[in-house]
Amino acid sequence: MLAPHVFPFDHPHALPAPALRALLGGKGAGLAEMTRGLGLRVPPGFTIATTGFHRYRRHGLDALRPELTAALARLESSLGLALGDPSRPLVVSVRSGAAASMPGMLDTLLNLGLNDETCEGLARATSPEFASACYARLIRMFGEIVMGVPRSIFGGDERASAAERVRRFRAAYQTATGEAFPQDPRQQLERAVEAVFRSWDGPRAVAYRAREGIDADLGTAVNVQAMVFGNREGISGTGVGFTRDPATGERIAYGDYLPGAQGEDVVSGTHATLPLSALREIDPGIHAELLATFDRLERHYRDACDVEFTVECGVLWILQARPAKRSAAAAVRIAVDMADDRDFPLTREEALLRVDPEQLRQALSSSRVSGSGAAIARGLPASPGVATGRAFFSADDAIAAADRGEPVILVRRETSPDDVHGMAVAEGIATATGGLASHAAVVARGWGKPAVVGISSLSVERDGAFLAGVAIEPGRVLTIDGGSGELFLDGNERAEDGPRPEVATLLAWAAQVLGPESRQLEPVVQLERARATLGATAREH
Amino acid sequence: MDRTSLLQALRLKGVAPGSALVEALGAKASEIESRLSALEVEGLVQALPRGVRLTEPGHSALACALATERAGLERTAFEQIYQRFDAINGEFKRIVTDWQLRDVEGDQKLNDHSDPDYDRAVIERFEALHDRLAPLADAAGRHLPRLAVYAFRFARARDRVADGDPRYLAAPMIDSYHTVWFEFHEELLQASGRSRAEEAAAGRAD
Repeated sequence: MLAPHVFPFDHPHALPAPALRALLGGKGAGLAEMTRGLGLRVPPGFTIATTGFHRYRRHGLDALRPELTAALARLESSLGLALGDPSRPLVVSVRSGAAASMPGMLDTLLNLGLNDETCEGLARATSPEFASACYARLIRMFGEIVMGVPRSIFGGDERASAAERVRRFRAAYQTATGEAFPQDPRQQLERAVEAVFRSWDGPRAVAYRAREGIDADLGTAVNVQAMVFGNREGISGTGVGFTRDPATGERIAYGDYLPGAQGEDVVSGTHATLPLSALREIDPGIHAELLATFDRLERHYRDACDVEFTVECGVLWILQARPAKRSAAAAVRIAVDMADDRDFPLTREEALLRVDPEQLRQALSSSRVSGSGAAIARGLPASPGVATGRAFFSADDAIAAADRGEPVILVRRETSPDDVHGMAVAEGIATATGGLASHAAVVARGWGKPAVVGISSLSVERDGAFLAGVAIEPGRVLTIDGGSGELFLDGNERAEDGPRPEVATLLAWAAQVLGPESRQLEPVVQLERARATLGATAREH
Repeated sequence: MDRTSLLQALRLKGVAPGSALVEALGAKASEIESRLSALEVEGLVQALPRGVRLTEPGHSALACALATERAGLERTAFEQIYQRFDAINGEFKRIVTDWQLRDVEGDQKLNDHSDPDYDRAVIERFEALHDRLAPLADAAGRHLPRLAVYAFRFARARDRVADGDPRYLAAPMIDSYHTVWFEFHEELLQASGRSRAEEAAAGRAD
C-alpha cells in the first residue's frame, strides 16, 4: 500500500512538528494542529501534502485523483453536503501552503463549487445578492489565478448588482479564454489544485528561491477546506475576539460580533458590530463554547490569542487562532498574570523572556501616563508615542495656540485635507471616527506623531467636545497614548505613583534571577540582563 | 490657472506656503505670486508667517464659485466616478498602512524598511493601484477641467516613488500620492454633493 498523499485535517499524524510542517506546509500543519491537536471545531477539509506535489510533478493529476476523490467523499459526508448538489452545495476554498511563504505563489481561491445551479442553492440559504457576489468573485479569481487573465478585463463598474457582475464576468471570461466558465465543480477544484502546483515553478517564486537559497524541490502543499457562511438563516454571524483585553491585558474576553454577516464586514468596519458579550444574550451556549475555546487556546499557546470565528446556523466554527497583537502595557500584564496563575502553564522565567525590553520601556512610560488616574476613554492605537497638550478642535485654533508656544492635541471628529496644517503643529492627534488606515492615522505616522483614532465615546462640536461624557473645553490638558489607544485627562504626571503593579512584579522576578543588587539597575537594563542570563541557562540545557 | 483653482487649493491646504501651491497647481511661482497679490487686494486671502490662507470673504467667494461650478456639472458622471473611487479607496489606504506599519511576530510595528522584499511588494501593489486610479483622474478632468491637474499630480508622485523617493507615497506636507489622494477625495465628495462627515459616518471617508 502506497503512503498517502492526501490527509484530512483530523488525521492522526505521528510526526514531530518540523517534519509535519515539511509534509503539510505551514498552513496545513496549522489546520491539523487546530483540528486534531486542540480539538477545535474548524471547518473540515484536507491537505494534499508536499509528497502529493512530487507525485503530481512526475505523473500528473491522474495519479492523485483516487485519493482526492476519497478525501472529497469523506468531506461531503461529514457535512451532509455535496459538490455540485443544487440544493445542498458544498463550497470550498483552495489555499497553497509551502513550508515557508514566498512571493509569486498562488495564495487563495474562494467559493469553488459554485456554478449556475449551486449559486441558486446558496441564494436560498443566504441571499441572492450574496450568492451572486460569491459566484462573481469565483469567476474573476478563477480567471485571474487559474487562467492568467488580466484583472483589468473584469474591471468597470464595481457597483453593478451582483447578478449583473456574474453576467459580465462570465462574458469577459469567455472572451479572454475562448471557453465558457467551467460549470463542473469537480473540474474547478482540480484545475485550482493544479494551478497551485504550477505556481511553485512560476518565475517570481523561482527567482525568490534562487535568491534566498531555498531548495527548489521542497514543493508546496494544497489545502482544500469547506467554507462556512456567517450570513445564513438562523443564528449566524461572524466575529473576532481576543482572549484578553489587547490594550490593557486585563483578563476579560474582548471583541466584536456581527450578526448575519461574513468576515470581511467586521474588519472593514462598515457595519455596526456588537460587543462580544452580546453573543451571550443571543445564544448563551455558543458564547460559553467560545469562552471555553479561548481558555483552551490560551493554555495551548501559553499566551493571549486572537480568534476569528463564524457562527453558521447555530454552530460555532473557529477559522483562525494565533497569539494576539497587544500593546506594550498589555504584554507586561499578560505575561505577569499568566505566570502568577498557579494553574497556568507559564513560569516566571518564561514571563521574563516573554517581555521585550522595548515593551518594558514603553510600559514604563505609559505607566507614568496613568500616574494621574485611569484612562477616561480609549480608541484605536494609530501611531505610537505619548503626547500631552491642550485640546483644540480646529486646525486654526491649533495653529494659534502653537504660535503662542502651547503644546496642542488636535481633537477632531474626522480629518479632512485642510486639517493637515493643524496636525503639523500638534503634539498629538485624536479623532472620533476612522480606523488604523484612516487619513488621520496615515498622516500622523508620516510625521511620527502620536495618534488615537476611532474614539467612539468622543463627540466633537464646533468649539468643544465630550469625551466619555466629560465636557472638554478648548485648552483643557489631555494626554494621549498612541501605543495603547488610551486617553487621559490632564497631564502626564511623572512617576509620582511609580510603575504599574505588574511592572514591579516583573522586575522583582528579574531581581530573583540576577540577585538583589540588580535592583540598582535601570529597569530596562535589569530586564535585559535577566533575559540574557535565562537565555544562556536555557541554551546550556 | 483659474481663480477657483487657486482659492480651492488654499482651502484644501488650510494654510499654504507658496511651494505647496506650485506643486498643487502645476503653475509657475511668479504667476501664483501675482494672482495671490490680486486676491489679497480683494481681501480674499491673507498672508501669514506659515503661508497664505483664505479669509472669511475668501471662503464665501469660493463657496459661490463652487456652487456655480457644481450646477453645471454632470451629476451622474461624478456619482459614477465617486463610486469607482470609493471602490479602490480602501485598498489605497491599506497599501499606505502596510507601507508604514508591519506585522512583526503578531505585533503592529512601524515599518523600519529593512526588508526590501516587503517594501517592493507594497510598491508593486501601489503601482497596480495607480493603473486603476489613473482613468478616474482622467475622467474627472474631462468633466471638470479644473481637476485635470490631479492626473498630472498623481502621475508625478508615482514617478517620484518609482525614481526611488518613497516619501512621495505617503509623507504629509509634500505633494505625495497620499496628499493628492486626500485632496482628490475631497474634490469628488464636493462635486458629487456629499459631505465628508456623512461619508465618514458611513465608513467611507475616514
